[in-house]
Amino acid sequence: MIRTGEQPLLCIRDLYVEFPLFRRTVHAVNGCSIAVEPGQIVGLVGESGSGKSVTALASLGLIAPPGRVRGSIEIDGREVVGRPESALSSLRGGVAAMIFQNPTTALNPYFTIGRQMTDVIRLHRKPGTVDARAAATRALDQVGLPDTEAQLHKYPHQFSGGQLQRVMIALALACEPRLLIADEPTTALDVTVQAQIIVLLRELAADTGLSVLFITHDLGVVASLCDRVCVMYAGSVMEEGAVRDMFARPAHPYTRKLLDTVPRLGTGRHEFVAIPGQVPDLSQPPPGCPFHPRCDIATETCRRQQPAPQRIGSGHLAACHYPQRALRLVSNGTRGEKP
Amino acid sequence: MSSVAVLPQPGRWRIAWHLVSGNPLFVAGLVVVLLVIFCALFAPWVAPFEPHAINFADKLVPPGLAHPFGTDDLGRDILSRVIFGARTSLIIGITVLAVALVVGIPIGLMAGYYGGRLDTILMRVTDVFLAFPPLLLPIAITAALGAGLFNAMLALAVSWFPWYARILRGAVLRVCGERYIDAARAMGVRDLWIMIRHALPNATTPVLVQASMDFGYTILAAASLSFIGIGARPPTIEWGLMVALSRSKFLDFWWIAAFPGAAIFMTVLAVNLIGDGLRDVLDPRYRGRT
Repeated sequence: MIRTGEQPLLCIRDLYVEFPLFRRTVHAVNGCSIAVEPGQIVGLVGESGSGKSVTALASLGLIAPPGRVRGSIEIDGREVVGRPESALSSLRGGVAAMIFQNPTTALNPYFTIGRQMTDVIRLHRKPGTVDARAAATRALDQVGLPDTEAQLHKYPHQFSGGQLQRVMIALALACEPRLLIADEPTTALDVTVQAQIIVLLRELAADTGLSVLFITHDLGVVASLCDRVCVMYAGSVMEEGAVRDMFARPAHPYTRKLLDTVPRLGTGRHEFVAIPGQVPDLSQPPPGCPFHPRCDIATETCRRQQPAPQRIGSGHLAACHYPQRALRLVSNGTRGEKP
Repeated sequence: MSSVAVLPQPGRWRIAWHLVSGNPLFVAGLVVVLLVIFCALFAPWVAPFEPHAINFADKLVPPGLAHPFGTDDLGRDILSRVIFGARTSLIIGITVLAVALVVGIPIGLMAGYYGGRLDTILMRVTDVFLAFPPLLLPIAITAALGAGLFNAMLALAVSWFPWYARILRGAVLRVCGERYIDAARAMGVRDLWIMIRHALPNATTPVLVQASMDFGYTILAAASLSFIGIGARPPTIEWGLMVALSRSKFLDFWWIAAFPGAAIFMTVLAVNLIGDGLRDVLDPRYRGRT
């Protein structure tokens, strides 16, 4: 993990999350470490089932039993793992808020959004210090919903998916959190709305110093939004670095393959590249490097020994025994463009 | 009836009416139930005779102009007694359901929300109550507490609450899988508030529908208890008791048993029809429509 001066707002160290099932245990997160500094937007990318969402839920202490969490998660210097529910609820919403993937199911269908927003605002601000209704209106205005007064009286089913996602973001922002954990907030949205939300998040990060942990599998969104990016695979971070570095010089074979899968416009090549094989069954993770069954350059060492993260460049880490080989493969022209 | 409580804003009455008016069976049920409520509220003015007035000169008169439902073996007007009986029946239905819901809802809510050991304990305790045959438990309880309408109502409530606890637990389990429960927790909302504000409103529909149907069954069950002599006792006017008292004579004088019996039948049927239609009205997706 990399430290650059300031105390990170979210600091996940060596996180393990397991879900014991009937006969086996699913190791959803295996030794993941991520840091988000104030004002920073960190992308967390990976395939489905790589442990991104579980990491996000664990960050706010939302892993329900029988799920087990080990390791350390600090939000604003306060430890989350092992804290009782009562201590966590002051942290949630007020310091760190979360946005969920599917906005149509993340709001209570029984109440108007105005009521749901004012409920949450009253929960986190001292009574009398703020007009909850005005704060709700302001938050909706902030996410670019028109005619905010009228929106407050509507029920969730009266919004479109894109509007609802903005309502969700407004709900999260209404309590002025310092950290926003966004679990695939743009996945269900069309590209124009997606672009608006990206612009909004960047503005908030720049203007108010909001930190964001942005979970997605869309590398395009990461490129346009994030400062840093962590690539997750089978519950651990494979590579971590500044967006520019990682996209130009991916050091881990998995990152390189992930970037290869992005179809490119205007290059004349219209073939789709897929990564052969599947995400490993996390109840029986492969020994050694979790990526070795799908890796082209895997050796006997990879099959035996799990690689520790090693430094590639400034603020750039990769958990690979042979990071330079991946770099070489890029310069061999598999990706069609050179840094 | 029940729909009144859950539709607080005035504009929703029109929406509610719009939703149910397309359902003629619901409307029919509503008309009958409103009639029963009307009779219960205004019994002294609606009833043509004093229900307790004994008149041996006019005993066992068949239905006719003077006595539309006839008279019983003490010469009491059956129509008047059926009208006054509506009071008892409504009180029974409301009391039994209120007690059963007040006990059953917190149990179901906590069992469904917290799960785990608490769920197991609460559900096994309710299972004990469910293990008895439906009418046997109230009979046993009333037998132990002593016959009487109040004890009968209490006994019925005790044998009814496990159903609400179970139904609500199931509904809460379903609701707790929804994203908005996680979202509420992620926003720092505390358990109690999540249960009351998010889990309960979204889980009550099946309970309310069941309760509206059970309203009829509680009247029926109370009538059964009265019939076998451990429910209401004279001089309380209760439909089941009226049928019971006519036991020795109704083969010759059919109207003594037929009209109170018909009153039970009509009320139970009407309440069931309403219960069916209520499902549509309570669906939040219809909220906020104009």
